Amino acid sequence: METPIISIQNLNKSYGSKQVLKNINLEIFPGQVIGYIGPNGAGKSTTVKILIGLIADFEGEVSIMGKPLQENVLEAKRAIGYVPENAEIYDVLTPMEYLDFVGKLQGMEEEQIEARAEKMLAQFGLAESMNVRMDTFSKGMRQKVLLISGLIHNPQIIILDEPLSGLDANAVILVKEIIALLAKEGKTIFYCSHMMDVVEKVSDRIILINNGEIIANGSFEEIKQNNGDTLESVFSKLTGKGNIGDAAGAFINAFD
Amino acid sequence: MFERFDVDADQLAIILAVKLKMDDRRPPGLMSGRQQQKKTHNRASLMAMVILAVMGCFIAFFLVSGNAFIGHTLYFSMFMVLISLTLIADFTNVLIDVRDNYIIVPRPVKDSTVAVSRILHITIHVSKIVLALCLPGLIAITVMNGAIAAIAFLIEVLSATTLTIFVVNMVYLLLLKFSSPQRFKDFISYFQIIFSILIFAAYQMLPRLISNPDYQNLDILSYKISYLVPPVWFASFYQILLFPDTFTLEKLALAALGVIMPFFTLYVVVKFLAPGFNRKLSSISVSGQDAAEPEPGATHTRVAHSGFVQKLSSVMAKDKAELAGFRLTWWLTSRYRDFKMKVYPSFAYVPVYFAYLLFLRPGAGRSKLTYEGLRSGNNYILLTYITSFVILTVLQQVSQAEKFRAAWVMFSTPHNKPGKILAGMFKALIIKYFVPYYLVIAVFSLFTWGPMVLNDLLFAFFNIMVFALLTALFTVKHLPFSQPVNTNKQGGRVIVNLAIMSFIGLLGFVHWGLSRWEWAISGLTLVSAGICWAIYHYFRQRNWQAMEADYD
Repeated sequence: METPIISIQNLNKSYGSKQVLKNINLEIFPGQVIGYIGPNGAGKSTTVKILIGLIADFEGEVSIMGKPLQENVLEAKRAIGYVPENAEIYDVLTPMEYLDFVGKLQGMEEEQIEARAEKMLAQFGLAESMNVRMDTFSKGMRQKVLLISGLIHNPQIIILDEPLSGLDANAVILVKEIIALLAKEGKTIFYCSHMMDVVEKVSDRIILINNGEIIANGSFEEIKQNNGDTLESVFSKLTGKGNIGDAAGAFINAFD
Repeated sequence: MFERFDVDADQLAIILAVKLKMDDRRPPGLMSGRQQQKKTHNRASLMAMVILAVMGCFIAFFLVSGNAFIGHTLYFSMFMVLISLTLIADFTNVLIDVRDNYIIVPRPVKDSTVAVSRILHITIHVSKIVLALCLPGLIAITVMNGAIAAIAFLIEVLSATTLTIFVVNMVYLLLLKFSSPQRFKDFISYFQIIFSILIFAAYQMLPRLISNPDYQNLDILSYKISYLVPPVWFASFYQILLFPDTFTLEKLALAALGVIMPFFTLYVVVKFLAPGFNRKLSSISVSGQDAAEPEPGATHTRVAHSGFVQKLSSVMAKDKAELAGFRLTWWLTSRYRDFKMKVYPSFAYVPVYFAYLLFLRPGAGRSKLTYEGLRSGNNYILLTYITSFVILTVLQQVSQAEKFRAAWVMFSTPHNKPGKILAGMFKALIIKYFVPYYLVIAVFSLFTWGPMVLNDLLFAFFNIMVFALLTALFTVKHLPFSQPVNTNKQGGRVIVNLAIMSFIGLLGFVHWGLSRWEWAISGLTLVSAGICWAIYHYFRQRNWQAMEADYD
């Protein structure tokens, strides 16, 4: 039987008295593209922060590439590429300076960083801006740099938290293509997003989390049975917000 | 009245009320960079006025110091400097509120209402500043010299304010003409730095200067250049009005200038400067950080790739994490305004402290007030050790940044010894900030006290490095630029800080005691360098457990 590249057993996490993750169990296999969805505050970001080693105090067992995360956090960090939800970036640096910094922290050689960064920036249409400070960049341009910074060390596992945020239409198409190609190469992709149509298209397995609990886990075809035709309707039904039409009507009625 | 100007009075009241409310919730410009980022301000305007009133009390000492002419000249010099620096610091927020374009302009509000709301907002803002600053002086003048003096003083205040607004207008226009919006914001920061240095110097120096007999007997008008100084005009006006026996034609002419020039400059501002001024100011917003897309006219700051920093860092830091820490620190310290605003004044504080300790502190001999006086004794030891203040400031600030959340990347990348990043950071800070500064001090010392102080300079350098490393070891518990600005997490470290500060004082004292034995100084330099090496290597091995560096 194939070894899961990410294994989560009985994962619990609390902030004070508030439990944000409740007994999460997951096994993710190499080459899978996982769509990890849930409403705001469901526990998506906390799961991601645990996987990438930003949160170290949790209950349960998490293994990355077959090894317990807490004892092998450095190896896990080497294997993972992460693109955060908010474009938190040193925007007074240039893309080249930022990628140089991140690449060094990943232990890459200077020449390798430079060569990869130049090629990747060019593909995202940032060749002209590679030595320009990012504080004048649009959100989409910064997001492209963040994407590159998460991929530059050629990780085995790629965790993308709302990676399309702020990107223009062409860049969205490019990123979707990149995700598909990376998956073909055997990379595992953990994709968090609110954009249901994109999740539906890029993921071969969808995990829906609500109030810290996994409430659906399977292929889109599997979870849509009895729950709706589209991922949006599945999402609304399973997260308890089934009557969106009623809510919209009530909003409009406020004019009366 | 508003209807005559085609202004909707209700809308005007609403706009003004919101803008004044926002002023109350914005950290005062004077204190920007010093405030806790997370602190909610509800009475910021009142706080700013209290700060200015305290400064007003300070400068009011000039008015009661004896010689009225000199007193008023110095008072209004300080008054104009303080008002102009305050206005420059505040103007970007008050004048150039580009949010108007997104929030007010799309709504059914007439342009005239928007324009009048801006003018009134600025007038209220300036009035608050001026009132707070001049109130202590006004009270002092009224109590000492009566109602006529108070009226004369108020005319001086009005004239000085009008002239200051003219000067600020000119400064803005010049800066906008010769700099990009990005650089413009840097210039504003530099003004704030100058402001804090002036306040510091004034606090240390003024009380001593005022009591100096040379100051009381100074005849300002004997220097013809003083005719060009507006505060001299205001002082002449006051003196002619209050002390007619001191009347001269010269003073009459200067007093007339003091009254006429503000009217003239007001005319120039309204007629010629204001229109272009508003247009140019709005261009400052183009580098807005939250812009969805870069503005078409936005000035991109292109940075030369590789070059000096790349080569220097490669020589100084061989390990990759150390190299990353070195470069990040080097780049960000150059580009974070907040960091510069807190660190750069410390360079100026050193000579001010030195001058104070040497010449002005109570008990300092007046004989030292000459170059010969300076050269006598071992004053270079005092000077070199005071430079440790620069290191202390730099190390206190390096963990903080407004955009500290960008530091997530240092926590999610694979390295188990954050000490390496810190070692790179330490090297970058010392090479960038301390070594050049110390070299300047060293060259000055060699020039002033002669080449025989060279071994003392080396010994002091290594002692200060020991101090810097101990400070880093005991107080820098976070990765560079990974903490929010002014988080008061240092409460428990007050004793540690005091102990380290006392330690450098002790080292300086020991150095002073041993300075007559050259062989001892040379030998101890080697010992000090060895201790530096040992502490540095210990510091570089720091692991995550030794850090207070949890993310989030």
